[in-house]
Amino acid sequence: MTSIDCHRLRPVLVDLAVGTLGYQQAEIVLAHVRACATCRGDLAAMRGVASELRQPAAEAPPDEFWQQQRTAIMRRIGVEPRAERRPTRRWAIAGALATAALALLLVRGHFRAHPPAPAHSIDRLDDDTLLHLDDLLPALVPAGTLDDADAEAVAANDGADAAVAWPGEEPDS
Amino acid sequence: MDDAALIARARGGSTKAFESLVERHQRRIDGLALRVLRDHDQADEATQRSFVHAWEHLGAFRGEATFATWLHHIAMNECRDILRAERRKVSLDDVPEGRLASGGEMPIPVGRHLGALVAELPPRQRSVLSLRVLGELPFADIARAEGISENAAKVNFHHAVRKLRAWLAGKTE
Repeated sequence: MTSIDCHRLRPVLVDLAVGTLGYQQAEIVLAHVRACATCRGDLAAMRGVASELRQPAAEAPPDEFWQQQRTAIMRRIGVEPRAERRPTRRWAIAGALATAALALLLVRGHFRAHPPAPAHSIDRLDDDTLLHLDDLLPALVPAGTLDDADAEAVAANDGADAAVAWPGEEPDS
Repeated sequence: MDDAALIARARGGSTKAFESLVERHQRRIDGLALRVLRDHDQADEATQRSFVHAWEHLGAFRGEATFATWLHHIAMNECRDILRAERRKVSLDDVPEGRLASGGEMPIPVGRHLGALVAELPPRQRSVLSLRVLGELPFADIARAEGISENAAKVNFHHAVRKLRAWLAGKTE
């Protein structure tokens, strides 16, 4: 059996070492190996190297380690982790505009549903309120804020009001 | 989603797809690096560098080998670079005078065992050995990945083991 050429036997010896050689071939090669110190040494080395290299180097790290490693890798290729990503100024402005637009739509919708009474419409003031406007005038227009021309116009208007006939009343004579 | 689909998306610029690839393969690559480097921090660094390299060269991945095999190649190269860089950092005081005078290559630092020696093998032998032993790939797949015959892959494996055996014998003498 030792007449087998060791050089040509190498690929088969590898198969024997890694356990992928068929039974019959293995018997032939093993017969040679028993008689050949060189091949015996090679076979032992191949098995030993594989066994040594496959030894687990340490216990598996926790999940946090893998997450951190992944984050570090993504950072190195220019990707910030999603959880820590902050909006850019551009996106912040866009967000503010969108919020403002939404608020505007909501307010508009509300007023469409509940239209407000027109402010300062004299038609909506009752008679009592109108009659008491004179009393309120000093409070609304503090003294000295009306110039003479305004005062005359107010006085003329008061005179005109006096001549107006209110609905259901006879005009003053 | 399988690796091929994720790679296609990552090639299109999807960092999310690439992150999924990292998540899927980081444990295996880190385990490989740890076996070779026998140092947690260095293994972490080698793993990170491997994925960064993969991201930057994703266009060069032709899909002839699996993504895992391709990553494995990259990781082995990164481990080798780290070991070389560390060797350059060895203090001159630690180097025997005889070796300094000869100007020969500095020794592998004490404490680095078989994994470090594997990283020193010629590229083809290193790939075949690590793919077989650490990647646990069949020789047929290794041959395809390396672009060589299956027999040539086995012979490379045999040579690699012989070399390691000789180096280990030299270190223990």
